Amino acid sequence: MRNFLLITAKDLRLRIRDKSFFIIGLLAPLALAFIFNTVFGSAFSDVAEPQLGIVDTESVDSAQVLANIAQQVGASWQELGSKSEAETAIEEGELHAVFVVPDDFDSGLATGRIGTIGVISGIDAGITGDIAAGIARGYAHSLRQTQVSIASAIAAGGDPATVVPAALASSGQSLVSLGEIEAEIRQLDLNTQTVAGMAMFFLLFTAQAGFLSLLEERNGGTLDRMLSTPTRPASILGAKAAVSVVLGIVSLVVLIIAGILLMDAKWGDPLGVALLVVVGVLAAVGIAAVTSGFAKTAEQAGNIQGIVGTVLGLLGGAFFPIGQDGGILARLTALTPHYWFNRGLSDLASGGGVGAALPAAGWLFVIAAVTALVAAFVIRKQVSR
Amino acid sequence: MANVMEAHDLAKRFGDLVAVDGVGFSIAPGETYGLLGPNGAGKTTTISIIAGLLEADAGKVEVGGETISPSAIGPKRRMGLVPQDLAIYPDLTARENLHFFGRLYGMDNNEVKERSNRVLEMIGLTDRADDLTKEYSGGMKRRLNIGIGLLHGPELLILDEPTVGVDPQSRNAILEAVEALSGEGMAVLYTTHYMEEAERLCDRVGIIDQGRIKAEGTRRELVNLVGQKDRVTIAAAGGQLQEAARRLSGLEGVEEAGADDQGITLLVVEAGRLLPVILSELSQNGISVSGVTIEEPDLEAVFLHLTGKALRDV
Repeated sequence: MRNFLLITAKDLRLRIRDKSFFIIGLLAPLALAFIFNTVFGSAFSDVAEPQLGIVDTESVDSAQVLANIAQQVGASWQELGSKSEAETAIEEGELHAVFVVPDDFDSGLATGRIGTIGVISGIDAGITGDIAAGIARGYAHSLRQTQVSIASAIAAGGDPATVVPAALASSGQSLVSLGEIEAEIRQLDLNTQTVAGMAMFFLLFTAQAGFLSLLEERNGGTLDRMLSTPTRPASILGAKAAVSVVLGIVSLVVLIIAGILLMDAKWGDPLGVALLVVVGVLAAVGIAAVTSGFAKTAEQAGNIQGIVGTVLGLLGGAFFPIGQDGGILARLTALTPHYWFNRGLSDLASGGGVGAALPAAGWLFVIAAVTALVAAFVIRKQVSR
Repeated sequence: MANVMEAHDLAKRFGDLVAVDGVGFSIAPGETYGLLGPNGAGKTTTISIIAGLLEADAGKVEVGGETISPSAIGPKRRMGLVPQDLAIYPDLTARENLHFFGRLYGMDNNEVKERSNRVLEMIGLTDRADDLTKEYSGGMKRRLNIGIGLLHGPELLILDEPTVGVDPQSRNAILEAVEALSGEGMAVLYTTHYMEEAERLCDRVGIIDQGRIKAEGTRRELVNLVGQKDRVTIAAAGGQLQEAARRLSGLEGVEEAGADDQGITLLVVEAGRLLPVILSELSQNGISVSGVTIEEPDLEAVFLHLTGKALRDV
């Protein structure tokens, strides 16, 4: 234990002294977050207050659901008399996007048919157009789920006369549970998401610091020297992992605080954020340990981690959301720590306490545990000859 | 006195390559044992096994009576390793390097400070002790590399080619330090492919090649083993030099004798022992000696004889 602490302290001192931690762990993610925010900020600037509308429709239930959701995301809401009026409002920049719900949309639901909700948005609507489309998709998705459950009940021998009213009753006045749709559109604000994405992306590199130093020491001779002292190999490996964990946590905490102070990021419940930081770092350290275990030199490990980190970052939505529409991309996304870290933060940002972050934290812990298990096999050879 | 280190029948293979094949030797307290051999002879592998960095396929090493292995902690306290590579941290000062490794050996803060000051003085780095070692010259780094190995006062100091790439001045300082440590009773295992270093430092030498110790002993024993003789050149004048040479050739231990106008040349066994007899014989024959040169056969010749190749060729 004593030698474990000595090696950890020595490595932390070296990482701080050679300034690599400041560059990769703090400066780079902050700088990139600033750049992303500056470059894309204008395109996203309307996100703070989306201006949405709806063309007058006889499908009042659906119109009400959409209006409620718009209110939930902080959008202004306006009713328009006709589709052409809507198009004019968009062209003149008065609105970002307008929903077009067919008059027979609600009545069609009772007969098992779902119509098409249209979304009109301007070419320069930016992310607001995507938000409007997302709201429409989420609403339609929930309708389909309800429809499938009704169909299943009927197929199982249920009486349509009783099954449909029961389903309608269970889902409120409209056919849709509002809660389900809220879950579909739950997300961080732009600043928070940008900082979180950059923080997690660079965390994978910061988390490699300890293992890179292991490879450097192996090739430089100091590892042999340490192994010739009364020090167990496990103490050396443990110290390297501890260095990665400490630097990773410091990096994330500093970025979270900097995000609040400099970019008005909103993280949610501090305990929940702390939980996500810890398990997020553990997952990142686990991945870094595995990639380092396959490398022969620090340079090679850095290259492997660069590829792995970039792929995971892209998949996990560190730069922009990806794979939200289901399919294989969505499944791959769920394998990344970035996704679960963002997901956990999103759950917290929507007002949940530490409990809201538990599912995401759980998955991050699973990633950490699985990678740690693999790392235990592959990285041991780095401290033996 | 019990040996500090005993290695028995060590063997190590890397795939098809036999790196070490039945190596065994021992080192007594205060003794400097040299492993002399070319690059790739198996010196570093042998040292790695002895230092507990590498598991032997066969055989065992005991240090202070305890068997060593990569997982053995106890016997590692008795040893200090000076690797061939510069095993120091460039972003730490010399004092910080010493402090870190001293603590790993279990020394407390005060003990490390006190020993560090002594070692820094010994290796001549007191004035630069608080500079980052990346600012050091190659020789200074080499000296620190050695200083770390002896910081905790080990019973056995293992030096793996410590003078490779070192300037003559630093090299001499290193050799003097090793001589001093040996004089203080520390057992030293020294590998080198420099014949001069082995001859200067080592009480006994193991000639190693292709993973095997070909011969072992003091320099004299090794020379005798391969039948090499000392060459004695006597600058002389007066008297009958040819006749004197003929007489000298009859002495026990004189293998060959010849004379010319400048003097007499002899091939003898153990010139140091025979020289008084030779000088006395010449004096009795009225020959005035103006100078004597003794050329003892070196380990280079022994190595050549044992392996069929010169140290510097391989």
